[in-house]
Amino acid sequence: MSEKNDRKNAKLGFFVLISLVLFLVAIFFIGSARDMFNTTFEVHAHFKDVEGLTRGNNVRLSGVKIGTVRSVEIANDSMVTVTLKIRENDRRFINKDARAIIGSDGLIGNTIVVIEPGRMGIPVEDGDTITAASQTSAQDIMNTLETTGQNVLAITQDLQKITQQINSGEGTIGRLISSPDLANNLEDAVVNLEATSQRTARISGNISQMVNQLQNNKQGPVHTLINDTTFTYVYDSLKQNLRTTGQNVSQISGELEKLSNQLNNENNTLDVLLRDSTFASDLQRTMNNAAEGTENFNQSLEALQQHWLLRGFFRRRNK
Amino acid sequence: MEQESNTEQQSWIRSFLINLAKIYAFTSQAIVKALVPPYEFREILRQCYLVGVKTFPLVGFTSFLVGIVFTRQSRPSLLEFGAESWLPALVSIAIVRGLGPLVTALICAGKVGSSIGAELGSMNVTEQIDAMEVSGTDPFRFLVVTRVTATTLMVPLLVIYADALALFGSFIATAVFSQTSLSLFYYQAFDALAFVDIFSSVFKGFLFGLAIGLVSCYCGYNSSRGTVGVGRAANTSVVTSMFMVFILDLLTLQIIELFR
Repeated sequence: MSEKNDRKNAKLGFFVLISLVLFLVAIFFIGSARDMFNTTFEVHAHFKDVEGLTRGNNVRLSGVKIGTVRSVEIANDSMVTVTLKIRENDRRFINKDARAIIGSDGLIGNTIVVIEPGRMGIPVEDGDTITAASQTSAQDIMNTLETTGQNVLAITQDLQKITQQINSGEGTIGRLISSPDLANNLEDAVVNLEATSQRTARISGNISQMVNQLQNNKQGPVHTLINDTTFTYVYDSLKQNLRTTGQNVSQISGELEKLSNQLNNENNTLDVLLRDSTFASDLQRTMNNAAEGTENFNQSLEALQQHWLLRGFFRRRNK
Repeated sequence: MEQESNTEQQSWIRSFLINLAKIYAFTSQAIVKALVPPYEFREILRQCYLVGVKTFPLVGFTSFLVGIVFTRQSRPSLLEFGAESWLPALVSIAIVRGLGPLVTALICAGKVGSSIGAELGSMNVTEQIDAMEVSGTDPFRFLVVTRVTATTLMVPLLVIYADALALFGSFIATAVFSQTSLSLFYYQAFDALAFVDIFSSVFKGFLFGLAIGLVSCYCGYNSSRGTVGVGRAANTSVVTSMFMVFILDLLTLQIIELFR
């Protein structure tokens, strides 16, 4: 009897033990979900509108839950102070210039706080206040959808008008559909286009053939240009010569410019030669006199050659 | 005729008030005797075994089925909103806050309540209670206090089992359709719960157990003599216990909302 009672009591003890374990496990899971067993720190953010955010809502960073909302309090008539409880391990990812945004967990999900970590490089400290920013709310989305709906309605009405015009034969598309003349013209245009394309194909074939011939002619310039490796050296030499020639031409033009400048100088002899008309006439006269003198000298020289005293000397020299 | 009607009404009110006084005296006596020694430990353990261990299979299986059924029936509605991922959260809140304690209490009211009512009723009919008094044993302490203590202590534990098994049943139903892993399901389920939900679930079990024990013992202990009285005691135990469970459920809901 006693043994039977002991067995029953053992079963009862096991039953109680398991239920207590289950209870503690549930407490642990809920505590873990609420960050009860993690070290946390607090930051504040001031919002104009928290859009239904309540205590216990999640705080997320890059889509990962890093904490919960500790409290939501109305600070004054235009500001709500939200205190966020965030895991200490994630403090290093949240900088002092981080921003808190009220978001939504899906389109109809719970309101959450989304943290944008910032770029300052200095981690936020316990009790700091971070900037609050507003994001597109569900109401904004609904407003946008309403505007979009109105636009779609207007577009549909326009499309209806266009379709009516097309059906009644108005406009280019309407005429295209309803007018047989335009259809015939279009058909002719298509036939012509086809003929043109055939000719184009033929011409392109001829061009292809010509190119082949040029490439296959091993003595031709095209083959040389493409295949002759020594032509590169010739080309380089030619290029070098051209560069040298260019430099020479540049030098010559510089010297010509210098000469031109000297010519333009009034004190210069050449300028006097070119510009002074009196000197030119004197010079002309001098030249005439010189020519005349030369002619007289030639005549005198011929006379000397005929003279009996010098005739022998000239004959010996000519021999 | 009118005079007869008034007399009947007065008699009914008088009877109701007398019963109310009896219930109050019975409850006070049970609570006082439960707190003041001597304690009938052996009988308490025996009753705990009967209420807890023996009822567990029925409560566990029923809760498991409730979890499956509730999940399968909730899923299409959530699917319409594209919110199927909320299923674990919805189910966990519904089970822990309401269904788990309620199902456990109803099963216990049916099984334990009827058993206690019938047992005490038959003992009353066969004058065993009077015999105990004659033999020097306090029948109230031995029969009532032990049973009330056992139901008060065991129903909360059964509620914990019921919650766990109902959530497991819900996971099975979810996994069949959504390929959800056990860890993800339990993470989502417990993420939606708060400490107050777990404590309120256990607290409800405590209150329901106390109510079932008191009501069943009262009905059985004060049953009318005769075989009909036994059946009536068992029937009244179950019906009144269930009724009390729903009333207490409403009251605890209002109280718990103050702490939420």
